[in-house]
Amino acid sequence: MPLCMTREKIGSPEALNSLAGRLKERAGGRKMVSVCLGTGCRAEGSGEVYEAIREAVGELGLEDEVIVMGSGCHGLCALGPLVILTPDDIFYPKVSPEDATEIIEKSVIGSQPVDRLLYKTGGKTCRCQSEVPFYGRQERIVLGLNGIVDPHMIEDYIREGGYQSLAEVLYKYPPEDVVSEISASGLRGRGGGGFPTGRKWESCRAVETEDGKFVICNADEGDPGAFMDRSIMEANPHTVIEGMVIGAYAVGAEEGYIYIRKEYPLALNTLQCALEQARDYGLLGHDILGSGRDFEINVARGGGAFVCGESTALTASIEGRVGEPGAKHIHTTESGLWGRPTVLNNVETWANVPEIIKRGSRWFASIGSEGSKGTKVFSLVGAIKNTGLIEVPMGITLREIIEDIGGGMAGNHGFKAVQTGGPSGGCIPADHLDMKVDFDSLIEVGSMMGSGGMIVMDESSCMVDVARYFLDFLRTESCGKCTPCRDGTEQMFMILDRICRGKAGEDELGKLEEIAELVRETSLCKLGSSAPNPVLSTLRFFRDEYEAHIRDKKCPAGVCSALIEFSIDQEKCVCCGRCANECPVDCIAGTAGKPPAKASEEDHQEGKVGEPFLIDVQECVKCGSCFDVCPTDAVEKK
Amino acid sequence: MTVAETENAIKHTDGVIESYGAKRCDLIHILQDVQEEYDYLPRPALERVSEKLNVSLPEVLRVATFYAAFSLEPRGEHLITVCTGTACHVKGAPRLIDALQRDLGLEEGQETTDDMKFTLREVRCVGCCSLAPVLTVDGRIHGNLAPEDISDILEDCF
Amino acid sequence: MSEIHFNINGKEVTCRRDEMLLDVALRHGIDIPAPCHHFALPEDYGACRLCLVEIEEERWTGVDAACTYPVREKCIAVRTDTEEVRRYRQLNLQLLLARCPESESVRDLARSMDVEASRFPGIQRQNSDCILCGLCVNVCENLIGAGAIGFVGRGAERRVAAPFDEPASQCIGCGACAEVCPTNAIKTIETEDERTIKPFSPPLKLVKCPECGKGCMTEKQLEFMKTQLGNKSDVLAGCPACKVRRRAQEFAAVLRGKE
Repeated sequence: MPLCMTREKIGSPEALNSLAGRLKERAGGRKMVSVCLGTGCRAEGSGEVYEAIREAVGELGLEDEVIVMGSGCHGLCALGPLVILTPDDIFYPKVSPEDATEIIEKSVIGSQPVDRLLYKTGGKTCRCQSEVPFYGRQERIVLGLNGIVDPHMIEDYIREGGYQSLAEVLYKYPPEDVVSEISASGLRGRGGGGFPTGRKWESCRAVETEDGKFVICNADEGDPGAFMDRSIMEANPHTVIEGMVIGAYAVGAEEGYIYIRKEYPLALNTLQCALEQARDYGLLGHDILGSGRDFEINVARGGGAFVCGESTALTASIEGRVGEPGAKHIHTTESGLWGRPTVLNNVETWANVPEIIKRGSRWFASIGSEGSKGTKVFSLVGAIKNTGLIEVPMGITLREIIEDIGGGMAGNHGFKAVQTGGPSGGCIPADHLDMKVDFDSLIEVGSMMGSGGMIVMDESSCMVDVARYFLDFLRTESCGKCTPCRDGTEQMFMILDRICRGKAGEDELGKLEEIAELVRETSLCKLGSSAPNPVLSTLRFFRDEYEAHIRDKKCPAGVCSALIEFSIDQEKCVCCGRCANECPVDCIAGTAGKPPAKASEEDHQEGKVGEPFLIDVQECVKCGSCFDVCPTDAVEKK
Repeated sequence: MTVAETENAIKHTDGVIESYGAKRCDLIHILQDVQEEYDYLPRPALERVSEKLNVSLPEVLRVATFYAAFSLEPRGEHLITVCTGTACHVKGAPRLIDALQRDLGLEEGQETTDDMKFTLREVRCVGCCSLAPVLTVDGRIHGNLAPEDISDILEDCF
Repeated sequence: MSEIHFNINGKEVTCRRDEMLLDVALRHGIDIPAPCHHFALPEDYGACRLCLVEIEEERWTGVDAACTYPVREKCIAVRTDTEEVRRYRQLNLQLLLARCPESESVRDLARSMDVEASRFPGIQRQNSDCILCGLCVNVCENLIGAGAIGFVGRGAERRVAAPFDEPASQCIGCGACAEVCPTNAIKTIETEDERTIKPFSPPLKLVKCPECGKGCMTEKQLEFMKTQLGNKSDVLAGCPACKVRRRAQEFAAVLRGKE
């Protein structure tokens, strides 16, 4: 609930300090209930939980003592809706609206946890967030304020020390010192390529121009299976804004853009609200913090195109044109948006900037591995227990992420591969689980960092199908401009499709590799040149699976429907008839009743004995519903 | 579109264009707002945008057919979007799509049911990967689905 | 503007900074296949990827398209005929052949690069002689300024079309698109009274030359040019052949007068 206060321009660092002090004082001593309203928890009903808790607080007349806050993503989406209580430090997963009154009465007023609501894992009950193994191995710099600040209240951010870095920079550092600080920190772009941020800023700063420069935040996040940037913007938009204002000061830009997916309505609203509030306080716009510097941020809504992750395509899109990349021999830092010098970084990169300024480049460079400093946010999803948003120091191993943070595999299948780097990344198999996760190591195994999607796959995933899936994505996301990317990815997809349908000849793998090389070497932009990665990396680590499809016409994982057949083990069938009920094409016949093996004489006389069910393979559409519902695993997939 | 509908579409489009100060660089934003209103881009609106922004009609259509957010076809009463992000794919999104196509009686390549009741679309990622597989019905997210859940979800729309 | 010195296939060449490599090569008589390059258009689009060459820079050596490579100081040497370059060009051509298996021009080009047939299955779409080089769209939109045709869709589904796939109402029938098309996918078809730009335009009425009576341009073209030229539009009267003849006669008269 927004507090009633008028927002007046802050004219100096001292005024900012005193505002932060007043805000701290006011918050002191009050209890806070933080309900995660991130997209994940919202889909699980956290909106209702938030309302219920507010109602309970109202009924008990505690509005003045208790703040109920809707926060951004807390990370552990698998257990949503999440609720955190401060200062008592109590963590509740899977909260439902019915729990509201009990939480308020017992935990908020009484400071005692409700045992039945606490998270239990491995025989242990976790009272607070830090006891939950999911959070244990994380290091949260970018996500540090998630759950602590209300993204719709700039005052929360200021209270926690927000915009102090900006004040310091404006009044104490000349622009070139800001650039050197970022360079010294070793920060590399979090959007995919991993280009050193400081070097990018320096080359833009060095350009002399009277026409103005731009800084852009890429918040398009076109990767399927990734939601890091969305979560940052939904949870703590001001850290991105502050980072951009600092960057603009460093390179000499007076105008900036945030390019954001329109499909992220929540992030878009949060961001627009945050920009408005920053303007009200004079932290954005004219004469920022009384320094005489101006900087304005515009919002450009993307129309949905993966290729807009390419800088030239993104700037074209902001200019209102199609997102077709151009040849990139002249850097964006020299000639970018409307032909002017432009610095383009993604959400997470910008979000790191204020912390680096605040705590110093040496601190930042002390985290991480040799060539990759700081932390990285990943969206950890797929076949593991604890899916969600994580932030880990660079150099952590894949095994630590998957086993310690992710809690290991969900379901009965073993680990098969982890996919990183988005559609143009690669699949990493089990024998590389002890590798370090950083920019260079990932490239060495044929994958890449990308923007931070991490999808864990178990043995029920077919790697040829996965490669086919990514090529299907890439061929439709190719802008269609250059021949190798447009027609090469199409041909690669067609070969993979033939392999999945058991229609591929022995020579197709050779052809696939040949086109892959062509597309990688001769495409116009990075989308094209990295498009073969999913194919090359799966061929490298899972070649036998390709060969099984081609030679034996078998899909070992049982995914490619043309190569599998469903049947029912007559011995195991208990004649329950669920499979026949679920079958969408009525191709399963039998009689429901008692299984013949267990039937008594009486049952026979009363006609209660069933007949095991059978699948008509000619009619079967291989949807797998029977397989899913069978209570005795009698349905077999071969 | 009837004559009256066309006139309305033009009037509405004019309002949208004006709200952006008729700037060329806002072409995508203008089309987004029109799409928001009609759930697709009606032809008279596209022609009006071309005229008012002084951008050739082929260029407007180039933009309108490039970005995934735009559609040139009217959609049905209920919009179902199945997330085909990576996490959803490996957790069975293709099976959800098969089930939806079967239940709705959609042919391969057909998006909208003949009675204009449902439109089925695939989207790249709705960013709820931890609830995979996910679909949305008129904007509402349903997660952790199996093909068996589809009929219940469709029933809620009637 | 500073001058850059480098070599192509061992031959020393000189050019302006940021001049496109393809232009430099062609100027020095070095042959590079480049169907999507046309001298009438100021900027190349970089689509077909047949003008690939090997470029050696100070800190990088690799293959890139010559048509969009601006030459700067770091460029040391260019090789247009390495084994790798040939292989990549041939493969790209095979991809184009799979798209346009019937096109005589594409097949001719393929033969000239020792490619007989595509090893890939066809992915023909509408207008299957089109290699999507973009010249027609560029010339219509930017050079003529008619804006009658454009790209539609993306990925392999991309194609060139008139709005809503109807006969292009903005087409003036100038035929520039057909003129620049490297694969004859666009044709100018003329009868006594009408001209059609296939596959985009409706039949367009021709204006008859006041002297010879033959159709010389479309009515819409005349209209369009008049608005562009304003009061200088009287130069438009007559067909090109008659205009040349008239000019010659005038010149001859002048010469006679001088005798």
